[in-house]
Amino acid sequence: MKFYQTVASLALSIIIAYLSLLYTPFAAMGIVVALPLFIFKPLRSFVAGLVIGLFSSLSMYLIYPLSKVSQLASILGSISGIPSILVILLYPVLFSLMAAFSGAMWSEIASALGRRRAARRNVQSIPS
Amino acid sequence: MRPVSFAALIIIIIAMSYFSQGIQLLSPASGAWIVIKGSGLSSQHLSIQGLQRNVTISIDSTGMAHIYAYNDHDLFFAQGFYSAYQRLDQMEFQAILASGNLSKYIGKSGLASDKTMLLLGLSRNAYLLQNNLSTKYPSYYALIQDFSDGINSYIHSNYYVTPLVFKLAGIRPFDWSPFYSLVWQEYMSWSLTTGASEPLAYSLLYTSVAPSLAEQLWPYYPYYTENATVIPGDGEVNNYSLSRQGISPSYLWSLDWVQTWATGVNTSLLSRLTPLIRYALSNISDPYMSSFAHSFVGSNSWVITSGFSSTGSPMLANDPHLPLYSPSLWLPVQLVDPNFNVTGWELVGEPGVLIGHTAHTAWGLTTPEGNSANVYLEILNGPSYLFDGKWYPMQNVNYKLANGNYTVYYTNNGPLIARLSVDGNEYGISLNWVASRGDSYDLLAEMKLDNSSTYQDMLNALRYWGSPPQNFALVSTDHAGYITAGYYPLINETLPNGQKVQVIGSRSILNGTIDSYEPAGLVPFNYLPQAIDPERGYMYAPNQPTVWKNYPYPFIGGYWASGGRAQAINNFISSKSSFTIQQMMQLQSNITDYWAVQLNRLFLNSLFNMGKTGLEQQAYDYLSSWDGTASTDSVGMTVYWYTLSELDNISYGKIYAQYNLTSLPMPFASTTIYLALNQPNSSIFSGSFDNSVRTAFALAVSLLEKSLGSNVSSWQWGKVHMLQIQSYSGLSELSLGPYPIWGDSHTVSVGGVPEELVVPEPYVRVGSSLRFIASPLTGQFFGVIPGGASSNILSNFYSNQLQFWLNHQYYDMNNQSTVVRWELG
Repeated sequence: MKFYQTVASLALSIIIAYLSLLYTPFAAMGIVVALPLFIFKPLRSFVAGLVIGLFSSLSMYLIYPLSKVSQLASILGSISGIPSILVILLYPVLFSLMAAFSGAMWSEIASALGRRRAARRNVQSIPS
Repeated sequence: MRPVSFAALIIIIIAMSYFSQGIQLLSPASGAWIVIKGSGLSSQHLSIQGLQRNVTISIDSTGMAHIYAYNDHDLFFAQGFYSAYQRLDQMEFQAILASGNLSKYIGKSGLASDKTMLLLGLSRNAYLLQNNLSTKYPSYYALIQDFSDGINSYIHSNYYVTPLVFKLAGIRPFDWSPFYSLVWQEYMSWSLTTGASEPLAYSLLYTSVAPSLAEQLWPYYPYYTENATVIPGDGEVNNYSLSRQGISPSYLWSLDWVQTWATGVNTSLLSRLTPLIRYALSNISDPYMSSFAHSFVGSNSWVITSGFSSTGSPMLANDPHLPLYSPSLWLPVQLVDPNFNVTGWELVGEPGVLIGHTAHTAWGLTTPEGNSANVYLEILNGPSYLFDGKWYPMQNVNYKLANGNYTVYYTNNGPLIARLSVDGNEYGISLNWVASRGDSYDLLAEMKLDNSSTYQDMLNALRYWGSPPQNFALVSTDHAGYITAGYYPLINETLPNGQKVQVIGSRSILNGTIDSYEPAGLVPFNYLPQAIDPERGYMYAPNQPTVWKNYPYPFIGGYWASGGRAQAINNFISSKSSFTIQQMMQLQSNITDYWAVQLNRLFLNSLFNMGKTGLEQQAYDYLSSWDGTASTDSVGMTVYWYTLSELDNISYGKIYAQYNLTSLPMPFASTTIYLALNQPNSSIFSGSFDNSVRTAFALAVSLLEKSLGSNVSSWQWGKVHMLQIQSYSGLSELSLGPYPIWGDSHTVSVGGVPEELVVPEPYVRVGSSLRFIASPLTGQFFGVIPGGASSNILSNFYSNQLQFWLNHQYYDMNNQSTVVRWELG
């Protein structure tokens, strides 16, 4: 795999991550975020999805004053009965896990498709 | 990867996708966090549609918005925009509640409230009022429409931020219309209306105990109120009185107004109607309000004339006691354009300023508590009601609720609030409420007040005020006075001696099957209770009787407060030779219980010779050195309050329990004082007031020891008496408090709770919803609310005024620096 392919894949994934975080409230968008990561092997794709998902979603909190994030987390935690740190982390963790597992999934699908294509090419190259 | 592992991967992703649907609220950019965006205010240009010219909104350091426009359209439009920015969630919740749509949002738990609102006809009245207002006063209606358009402009603008409660409930805002402002007016009107539940409650008491005992427990005029009416004097107004009609006030007030001649209802029938009366009482009780506020709502106001004022400027003080919600029912605003320059408080959701001042005038409101509604007994036969010997079909009004259709039936008197078969006959009770006339142009009156320059302007404005009647405290640069403005329906009565008189309200249920007791017009404006610049230099209106017994239209029904606050105000003001602004503030923060001072003396007399345990002796020592002040660190107040509660329980409570009347309010402390002084051996006290007090004291000490321990010095009032300012959403996380709080039900600075035998007491949830002091001639205006301008809990203006309010401090409304400036255009 070439370097520019790696960079392009990661960059695309990061852009999708921010777009989905900004414009949709669905953590399941992690599936889409991980799509460009199919070029990596499953484990690397998993790690890349996890890191991109976690950091992109956590960084979204920086658009707010952190003291107010903490204050609101405490209120939401109190209403829902869960610790306020979990209120802050729940979405990023789920989003990043979605991206991680999806990355692995896309990678598996891509490699399965690659194997099939290679097998087909192999069949075609056998002299009759 | 093996197929099994791949399948597991897919399953994990699907499971997480499913789970993630539940946490959309926590999305950092579009979930609940977005409310943080709405919490900060910064100076900016806001580009909004609908304005004719530019508008400036300056928000000062207290959170008051000063709105400057070039015309009325823009002024009210901008007020709507700003109100929605600060309070959209609260406004819409209020509209949903009042229009009987709560169950559509919160499900079955909202049904009881919806049924009550629809039964009372709030929506129906609001539609009628909207029709009349738009037809008869189109220029004023246009301002209400402008306010509404401003709200919608905010909802559809780029500046809209979903409020937290909407995020949590997953609801979107609906478009506002003038109807919603009017239906909230109806709700507030109902919550301050007397005349429906009072005659029902008195009927229960009267038919359960002997009439003489009922009169002792709930006298027409509470004890010790003879020299403490709102309007000074014997009740004569503009040279008109009972005496001038040739009617003897002493004769009229000696009569039993529950008897058949007064109501048209036989008292023996009334006794048999007890289940129907109980049913009616429960049907008209607002379940939402009851869950928040469990003590009577009251208010304070007083005015000082120019002659009695130290500066020569008439002065006014007002603090309406209402349920203390978070956010407050009030929004501080100043509205300025070529026609208006008014500062004060908007009743959230209503255009204009309801309590406030112009450059030359100021006004405040308290509730007078006389009947502006009446209840009628109906005889029914299936879908028909009997009137003057003929059967008429009832009108049906159908509503759709979450669990199906809901029908409200109307007779000629109004909605049927209860029906029941008694002794094989079908009876009903209907409600005749002045608001159902659809001509309570309160918003019009409010806008005219907002535009007033003289005392006469204010009086003219109040000709349009309908429901609920209110004691309007009015001051201008040269006059001070009161008028109890609003619609009081009159009932024609023929006294047992044959004389005819028109009265306000009834002591019990009126006969609705004959014409005799039907409403016969309203009290004419000129004869509403009113006075200007009284000789003594002051007047006050903390819900005590409005007028004394020679008033030309006797207040037969309704409910008066005990007069404890009135006595305290009267004593305080009359002890001065002239009055200053600082003394106005001092009086508004007074936390001495007038009745407690009198009653505690009687308690101490009764307890003096009592054999006491060590703990009782300590409690007695605190009680004997106590001066009647309900401060948070007072131990004497705690001992007094629980002794009083125990005494009520073993005296009145015993009678109430015997007759299943426990839902009725206890008689006043002033009743206890009167009975203790005049009938100490009454059966109410089981033959001995002294013994009852001793028993009550021992029980109170035992209860306090059990709950707070045996260290008597720790039994401080603030430990058992706390304030919680509850969120309208019911979420305690969005509420303020609890805070240890001063006062009790009878102190000027009120902290009212029912006398319940629990430690601590239920949270105080009714109090001074704002405090206002005005001196127009000297241009001094002070105010404070228990909260802030914003409904966003993260905003700096959510509760910024609360600490000042708790400390009885005020903001100078003239002199605050601007912290944010918006240019709208």
